[in-house]
Amino acid sequence: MAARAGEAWAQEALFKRHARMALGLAHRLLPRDEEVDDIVQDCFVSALKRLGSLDNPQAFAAWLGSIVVRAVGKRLRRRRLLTRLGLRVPEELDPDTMAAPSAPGEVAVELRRVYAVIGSLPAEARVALVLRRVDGLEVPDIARRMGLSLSTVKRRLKTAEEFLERSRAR
Amino acid sequence: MNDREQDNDGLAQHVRVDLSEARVERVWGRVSDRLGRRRGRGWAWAGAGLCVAAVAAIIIVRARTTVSETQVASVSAWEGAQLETAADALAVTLVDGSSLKLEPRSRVEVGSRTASAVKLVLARGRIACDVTHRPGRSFVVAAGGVEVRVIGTRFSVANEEAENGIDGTDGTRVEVRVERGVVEVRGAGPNAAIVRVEAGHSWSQVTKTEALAGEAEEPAASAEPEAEAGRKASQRAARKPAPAVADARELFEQARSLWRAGRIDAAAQTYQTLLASHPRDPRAGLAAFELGRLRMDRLGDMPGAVRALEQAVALAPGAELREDALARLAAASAAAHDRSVCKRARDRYLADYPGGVHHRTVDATLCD
Repeated sequence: MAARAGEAWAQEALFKRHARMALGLAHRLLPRDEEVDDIVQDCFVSALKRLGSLDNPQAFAAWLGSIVVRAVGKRLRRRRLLTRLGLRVPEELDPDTMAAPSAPGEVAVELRRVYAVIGSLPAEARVALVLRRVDGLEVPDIARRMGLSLSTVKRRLKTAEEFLERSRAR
Repeated sequence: MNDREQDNDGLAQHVRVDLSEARVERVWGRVSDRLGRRRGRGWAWAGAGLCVAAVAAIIIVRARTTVSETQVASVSAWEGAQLETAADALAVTLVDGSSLKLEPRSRVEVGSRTASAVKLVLARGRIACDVTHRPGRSFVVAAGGVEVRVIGTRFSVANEEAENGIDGTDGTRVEVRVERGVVEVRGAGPNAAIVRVEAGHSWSQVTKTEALAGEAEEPAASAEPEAEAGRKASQRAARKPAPAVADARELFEQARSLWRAGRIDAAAQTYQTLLASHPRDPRAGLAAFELGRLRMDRLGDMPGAVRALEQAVALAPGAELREDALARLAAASAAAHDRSVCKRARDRYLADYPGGVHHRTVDATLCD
């Protein structure tokens, strides 16, 4: 309530509580990206200014997560367009750098597989794949976060999974 | 524990990512700036010459650009036009050589302009003006219901969100600082007095959203109000002791600054001072929590962290902070081998937050 009233200390407490979730989520969707901090910053400013529109304050984390997911999706679509127009060099990601040193071997392999293909995927398929395979979300949760219908998410995931299968076959 | 990602299922917890305190603080600094929280640096440019002047000359400049230096434009424009800045300041020189300067994230609209009057409306942010006196012309800057009438001078006006209303009032603070010459300020409200503010002095008022919060909250002691009502308001405010909450806010900000500067001991001491001197301040809960975090993560003082986190749980103003504090209390007391506190904190967390984000970690805490 205090954060809704715009009290600085309360907003800071809310930020500190959820910052790592937002940074981690944005990083998984846009790994090693220099714009992650800017995106998270934008998302928090937007969320803190619109706290009053949140019906259930307990749902802040999920709401913020949706804001981050959609902001990243928007950024990816814009980048893809710029790349097609020849105005941007496609991103290069070393998938071997994604897993933490402490990650079990099979986890590191799975992360490598996912991050080896995401650069080739359309924005929505990429986001859906990371949320499903890396964050472990169920399809309805992914649909809510992305603001898409269940059937659309399923199609995007199908596209992404086909990419994964093709990469596995190589 | 501090890393929420560790509580995720799936592969997320195994992704390598920098979630350091330094990064979080850096992002918070930017968010806080954009929410208009930080003060004290905006007036540095007030000395730069700004001005508004020529009646016929007005502006339409939208500065949503990303330039690294203050832009300078010499323009003419129209009534109803507006100046708006994004991340950078904008300086505008009018045709008669007058100029005005808009700080980042500010917006000013041209309310009206005739041969005998110019009126600018500061919707948000700060504007500094260096106005050339022109006989027969009035020049007014309005902000949040307050009107500043210029009599040939250099001054600045700020219209910003009031920070946790010093007097408990939510709203915006309008502040006027005069560097040279004299301005007349009419406060917000139907019975507001007209106050004359001279060079070297300032005047401010907290207004409730668009309207009226009554008398000036902090009329500068040296401002010379013309009307009797203004004098009385000024005297009342001058007699009023400084509210304790202002001290708590200063301590809180000081502790944060010390923390950012890496002076961990001093930061912890400052939080401790805040808790001792302002235990009922709304910031006390967060201060206790931050003190607990510092002692736990940076100072290795687990018994001290337990004391601070117990205080944080007791003072926590919101469920979320309490949940984090309880989870940390379980971990800190386990590390301090304080079995009874650990069991109490763990049991309370598991009972109060069965679906909590730290549930798995707390459940695994060994208190024996």
